Amino acid sequence: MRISRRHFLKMFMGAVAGLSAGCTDFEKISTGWRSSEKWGNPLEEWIPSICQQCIGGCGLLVRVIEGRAVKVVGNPLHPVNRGGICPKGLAGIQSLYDPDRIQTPLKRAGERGEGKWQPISWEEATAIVVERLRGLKEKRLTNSLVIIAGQFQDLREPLLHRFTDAYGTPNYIRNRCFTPNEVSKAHFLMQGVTSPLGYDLMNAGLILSFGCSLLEAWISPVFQLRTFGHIRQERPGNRGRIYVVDPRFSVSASKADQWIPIRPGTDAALALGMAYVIIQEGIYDRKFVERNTFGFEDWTDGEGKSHVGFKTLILNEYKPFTVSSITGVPVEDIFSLARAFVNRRPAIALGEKGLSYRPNDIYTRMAIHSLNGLSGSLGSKGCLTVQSDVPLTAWPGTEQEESVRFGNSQPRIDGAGQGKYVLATDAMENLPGNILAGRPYPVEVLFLFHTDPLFSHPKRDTFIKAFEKIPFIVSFSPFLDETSHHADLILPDHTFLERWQGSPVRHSSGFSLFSLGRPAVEPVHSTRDSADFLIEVARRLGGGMAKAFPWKNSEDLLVQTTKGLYHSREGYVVSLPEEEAFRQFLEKAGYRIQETRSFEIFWDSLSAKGAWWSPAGSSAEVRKLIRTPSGKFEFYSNTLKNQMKRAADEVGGMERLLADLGLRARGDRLYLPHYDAVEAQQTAESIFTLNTYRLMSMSGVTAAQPWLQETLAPHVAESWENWVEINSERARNLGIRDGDRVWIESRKGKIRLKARILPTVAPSLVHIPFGQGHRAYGRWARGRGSNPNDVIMTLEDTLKGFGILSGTQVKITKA
Amino acid sequence: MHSSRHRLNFEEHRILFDPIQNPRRGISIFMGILLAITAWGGFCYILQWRYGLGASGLNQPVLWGFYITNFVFFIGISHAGTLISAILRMAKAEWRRPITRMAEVITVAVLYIGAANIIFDLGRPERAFFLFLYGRYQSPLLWDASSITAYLTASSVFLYLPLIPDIAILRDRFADRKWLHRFYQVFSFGWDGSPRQQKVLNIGITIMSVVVIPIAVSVHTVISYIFSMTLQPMWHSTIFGPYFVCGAIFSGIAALIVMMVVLRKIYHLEPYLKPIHFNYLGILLLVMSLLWFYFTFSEYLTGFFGHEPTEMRVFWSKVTGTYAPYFWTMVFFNFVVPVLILSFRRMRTIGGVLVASISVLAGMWLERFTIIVPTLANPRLPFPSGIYFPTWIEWGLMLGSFSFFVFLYLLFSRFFPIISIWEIEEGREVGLEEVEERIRSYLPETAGTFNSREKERST
Amino acid sequence: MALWGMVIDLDKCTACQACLIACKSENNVPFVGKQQADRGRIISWLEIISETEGEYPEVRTRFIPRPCLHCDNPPCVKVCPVYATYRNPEGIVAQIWERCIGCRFCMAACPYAAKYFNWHQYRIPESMEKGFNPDVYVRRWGVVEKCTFCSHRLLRARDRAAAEKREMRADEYVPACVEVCPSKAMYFGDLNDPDSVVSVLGRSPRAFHLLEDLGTEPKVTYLMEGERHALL
Ligand SMILES: Nc1nc2c(c(=O)[nH]1)N[C@H]1C(S)=C(S)[C@@H](COP(=O)(O)OP(=O)(O)OC[C@H]3O[C@@H](n4cnc5c(=O)[nH]c(N)nc54)[C@H](O)[C@@H]3O)O[C@H]1N2
Ligand SMILES: Nc1nc2c(c(=O)[nH]1)N[C@H]1C(S)=C(S)[C@@H](COP(=O)(O)OP(=O)(O)OC[C@H]3O[C@@H](n4cnc5c(=O)[nH]c(N)nc54)[C@H](O)[C@@H]3O)O[C@H]1N2
Ligand code: SF4
Ligand code: SF4
Ligand code: SF4
Ligand code: SF4
Ligand code: SF4
Ligand SMILES: [Mo]
Repeated sequence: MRISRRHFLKMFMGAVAGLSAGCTDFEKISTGWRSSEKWGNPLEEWIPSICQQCIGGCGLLVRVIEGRAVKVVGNPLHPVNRGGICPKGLAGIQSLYDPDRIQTPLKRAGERGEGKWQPISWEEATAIVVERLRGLKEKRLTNSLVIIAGQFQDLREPLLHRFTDAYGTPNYIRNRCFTPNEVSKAHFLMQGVTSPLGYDLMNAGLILSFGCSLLEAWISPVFQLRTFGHIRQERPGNRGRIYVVDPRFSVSASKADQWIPIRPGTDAALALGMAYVIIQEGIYDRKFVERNTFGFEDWTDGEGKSHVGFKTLILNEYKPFTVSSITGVPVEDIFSLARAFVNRRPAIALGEKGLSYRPNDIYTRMAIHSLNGLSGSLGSKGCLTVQSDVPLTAWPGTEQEESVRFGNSQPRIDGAGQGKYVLATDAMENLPGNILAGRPYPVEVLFLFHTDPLFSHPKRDTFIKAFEKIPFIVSFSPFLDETSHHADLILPDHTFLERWQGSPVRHSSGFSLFSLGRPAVEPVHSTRDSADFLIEVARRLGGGMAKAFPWKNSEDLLVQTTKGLYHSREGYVVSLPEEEAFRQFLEKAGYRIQETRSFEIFWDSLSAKGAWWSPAGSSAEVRKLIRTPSGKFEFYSNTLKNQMKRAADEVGGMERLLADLGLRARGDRLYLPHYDAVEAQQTAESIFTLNTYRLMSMSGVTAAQPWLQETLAPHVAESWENWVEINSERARNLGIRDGDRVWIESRKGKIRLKARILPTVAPSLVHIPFGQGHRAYGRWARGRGSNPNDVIMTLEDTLKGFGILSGTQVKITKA
Repeated sequence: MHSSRHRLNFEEHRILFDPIQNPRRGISIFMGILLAITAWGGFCYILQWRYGLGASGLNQPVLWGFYITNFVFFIGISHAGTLISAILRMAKAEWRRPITRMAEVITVAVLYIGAANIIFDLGRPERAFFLFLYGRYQSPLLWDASSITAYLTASSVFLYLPLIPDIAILRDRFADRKWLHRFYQVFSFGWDGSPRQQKVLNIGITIMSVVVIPIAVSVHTVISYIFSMTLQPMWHSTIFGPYFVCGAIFSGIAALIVMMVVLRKIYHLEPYLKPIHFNYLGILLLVMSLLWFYFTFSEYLTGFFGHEPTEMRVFWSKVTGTYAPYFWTMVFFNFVVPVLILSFRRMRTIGGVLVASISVLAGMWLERFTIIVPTLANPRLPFPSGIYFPTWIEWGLMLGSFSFFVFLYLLFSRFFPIISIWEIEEGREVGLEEVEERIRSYLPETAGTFNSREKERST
Repeated sequence: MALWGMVIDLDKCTACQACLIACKSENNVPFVGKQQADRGRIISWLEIISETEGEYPEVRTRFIPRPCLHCDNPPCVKVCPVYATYRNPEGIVAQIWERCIGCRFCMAACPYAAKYFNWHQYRIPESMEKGFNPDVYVRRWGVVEKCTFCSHRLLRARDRAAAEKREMRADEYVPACVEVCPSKAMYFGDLNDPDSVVSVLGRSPRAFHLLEDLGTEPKVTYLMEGERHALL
């Protein structure tokens, strides 16, 4: 059921007719859409879709001519990207038409990892899987099914989760660091919020980013780029500022108003140093701090036991000179930063970087978040907000038979949420070890969904060994990536341009949004939407499973699920800015136009325009933002205290827990933001600290796209391979010239890369962009440079459970 | 004046006929080798045709390299011939007589090769004729096209005219050889050396000499315009016209000298090409070397003094940077060597002059190269500046070009006397008297010298 | 008669390279593969030029997206021997692929290195050819190509207006790069209309042109980074 542009036009002629607010020339949002309207001809359709090249959740329009997708552009109506799109998104077409896609289900023919495959029918494939799962069910071993899922964002997330729930296994494990649709721990511990983090960046006066790559990565790249343009030159009022704290001179840093180079892992110290200045000079938001915070001043609890407050702690321990010597940031900069952060309010401190900065990262994040508390960046325009949730139809409950409950009650195989991992939702770093040790129980079946741990996780070797222990491994990838090579069965998924998609997108900016994507083209090969596959399997397994998946297929799933939107009587299907302005004007006046007379029409309009949203969502008053037991913003986190108590009991005693965590702090400090020293780095002629980072052009899925391979980055003209960035001075001393090949060697292994000698690199560091160096993944991706994960040695990461990827000491020698 | 034919003593000039009458095997073999190398070049071109210009080492931004360098270089050489012989003719320099033809042959032979190198450089050679279909006169490239064709025709005629009497001689000489006879008959235009013909011929030659000089000058001027008409650093220069012409004549003379020495050796032309000729040419070469240096110096000094940043990037890349080796070798070959050798009478021996000429040829090729590539390699905007390494295909085509040139030259000498017999004769008969006359005419009259011939002329 | 021009606000530009890829996708620009890329033969009608000054930690990097600037006094056009490149009445410097003889004189003449040469016949797996834009000609070996301001979009917009028997509005013609720019740093429009965005922005004190002193009169104007101005 496709709708040509013409048809589409008719659909909201009415509204357009009643346009009031004319759009100024500067309001470019709609031009794309307009032109695409004008572009339309009977042969041509523009199908809305959702980009899955990263987690940004941008809305797309796919230009389809005679069944061929010839162009992808941003959906001009989509609230996340408003017609904008990043290079990855544009290259989506190349993943659709990648000559090396898997074309049918494949069954392993030779040895594991040998690369011999036998094409089989979907019927046969489904049968195999169903039989396996039934087998486990009968043996009451449902919990030995493990699903590893990677970094993607749409309804398949809850769907997969539900699959494990209904089947009876706690082991839905995310191979990732970063979950836009989960609450940020620091915000949870200090604010008590349970909804994902949101920032009103568009209205911020100052955005202070601690290593969040605003212009290259982070939560929603295009949304951030849009924000950048908006606060700088578009919005009325004064030009917003962006300060970037990053050891690397990133693109974000070079475009920012100020770059603050910092010694890796010491962000907590810098944040608290700023806090010192702010408190010392008494320029913090007194009203907010007095009314709405807990644990700022010293305090005494119920039993009359007295506790140190945040203030005392800071004033005693984070004098700018100390901080400067820790972080390498000049004292005067600490002062100017602190003052700017207050004077340029509304100011936001961003500490929710994807990967952990350092072990026990929670304190770093709390330290950074405490700045938001000090400057009272809650509850007003341009400050923190919360993501209001999307009124989708609730899915039927998974009422569970005893065996399932038994399965779900088993401990997670990766140990997330227990003991020292009390705060972690997933613990990839433990997974391979535990599988090898069969701890707490052996794994029978493994599903790999949208993830390639053999490429993306440093523990590659352990993973390979662990996989040997697993009798049956299924990969859902459309591409033959490293991990799929070790699977027994590959059930190629559609690429995102071929399938129905629905996504309650999380994009950091508060308002609630639901995106809908239609299949832009017929499937190129005999692949199958993994959602359909799961539904099919559930149906065949029958019982509670079937009840939990009552839908015919993914389209039906979407239809049923979006009914809630229609009936919620809030929000509306996105439309031209004029129309929305008009509607908002009416709403202010207290009217709400019921835009459609029936769900069918609503659905048509939704699936034609690609998104529903409720702008109202973005406003957030303090009440909504602070949900702690104390009803206060807690510098001293009671929640953390309780959690650690619980964990302590699990492992047998607080001291034991602290030992496990390797925490030096004791007493109240454990629940306050603080910094504890990083192990001193050794220094030698050829020793560097390795840091990996993301490029705007690269993500876990884009290595196989030639356009991106050919224009990897704007700051170095490199293509088709990754490189290592070295400081000019030190390179000179090592006799390494720009473009030379060098060995990067750690205690774990060594890789060979092209050296780029840049004056922008800190002397003690080297940077390698992440995303290249595939050993598989098709002709475009294979053998392009080397994978930094081959040398990275992870420290324990009890917050994200992924592993600390920065900080590996490497020796660099001319190859 | 009487035709030279009756009294012509074949035996006396037999060495000039030898190459035609009884060609030496060695030379034929050598020509075979040259032809093979040329064929190799041809093969390289076929490859390039098949794979596209990508087969060369050219890239972004160094989009011109060997081919254009060779083009400019060969066209430069072509000035040897025609220009020199024309000037010498006009100047009535008697010592020119054994040299002119050798010079003219160089021109014609080399022009084809120069033109070919432009074709090598085209992305779409099969579209070359668009130049005539859609020619756009605003483009210097079209100026080149026209002036080169003009030059080619003019110098072909200029080569042919003085050739006619000699062809006639050969026609009679080879009366017994059927085909050869036929061949010469056609080209000798029924020349019988009658005074009328003689007169027309001389007039023709004189006219051509006058015509050829400006054309020749124009050719290399417009070639320099290819570069100077753009805005690129160290190209956009007003003296490029004369600079290129000077360089052209410079390399031309050098080429001429080398050819002379070679032919003198293999055809035993010692009686005709005497040290004195080389001495004179040597002096000419010296003059051009100084002139060339003067141009180069002022060109680079102006650039340096202006110190315009983009200009300087190119400047330094030549003087100290990537292209310094080429640049300084060029200066050494074009200036140091020739001046050191040629300034001293004692060293202006045939050997000395030869060495100087070879060095100049190498130097001038490098000069073309260092004018073209460094500028392209350093674009104005901060792009990753390019490095250019010619591929073996380009080398192949370059070798091919050179050997084909020599081949053509030898080929000519297999069918025509490489030294203008009749002009030598003429030199003997009228030249001597004329010169004597001329010299006398420079001097004050002395009584009694008023004789009949004088009278004729005055009335 | 319109005079088409572009404005790029460097204060908004994030060097994300979306414009660059959008152009490749829209105009069927081939990717050349590793080997050719290493030989410096990447074709990219729009490039992000970057320039870095200073030494750590006092460093500064500038990024400038550079399409063809469609100079009003284009050095590239003057030198073309066969009219394969010309400036059309609306100021678009156009290229006739089938006319070009591949002499690359125009490339040598363009001070902005905005022209690219097809060193080979670039082929891509034909499964990928499905993604080609049918509105745009696919260049063959041996010819020069460059940014066309997406003139095919102008033609289509105009045809459409004609079909609907009306004048074409300026905002119906939007180049592919402008269309996708995530931070809305690119503007496009009619320079002859004093009230068009591009004209207004063109008068901004932040406005400048690349290599202004060469007198090529580019129709792509840049706004330098820095404080907002009354105009906006
Ligand atoms: N283009 C693109 N966008 C993406 C993704 C992608 O693959 N590509 N992936 C998505 C995913 S999965 C994630 S997790 C996010 C990641 O989003 P980000 O975390 O924002 O991106 P990264 O590049 O991983 O890291 C950001 C910066 O942290 C810096 N850094 C390293 N150590 C330190 C430190 O100790 N202190 C400070 N202050 N900075 C440090 C690095 O130099 C780097 O520049 O991006 C998401 N968005
Ligand atoms: N050195 C270093 N390592 C890192 C990072 C780093 O910054 N530095 N970042 C880490 C972070 S933050 C993360 S989140 C992880 C992410 O690591 P992963 O989870 O492995 O990455 P993803 O991009 O989620 O998954 C990529 C895989 O998804 C599969 N895929 C692609 N398209 C589809 C599809 O349409 N359907 C299905 N079913 N599968 C598809 C492909 O096979 C591809 O191999 O990487 C981590 N690894
Ligand atoms: S930011 Fe992410 S989601 Fe948005 S277009 Fe780029 S790749 Fe797609
Ligand atoms: S798309 Fe826009 S922001 Fe991105 S590089 Fe191009 S001009 Fe700059
Ligand atoms: S930028 Fe270059 S190619 Fe474009 S018009 Fe100007 S000179 Fe010609
Ligand atoms: S390369 Fe083509 S367009 Fe450029 S000057 Fe030569 S013929 Fe004209
Ligand atoms: S205007 Fe069109 S052709 Fe020119 S750079 Fe932008 S997208 Fe490419
Ligand atoms: Mo991530």
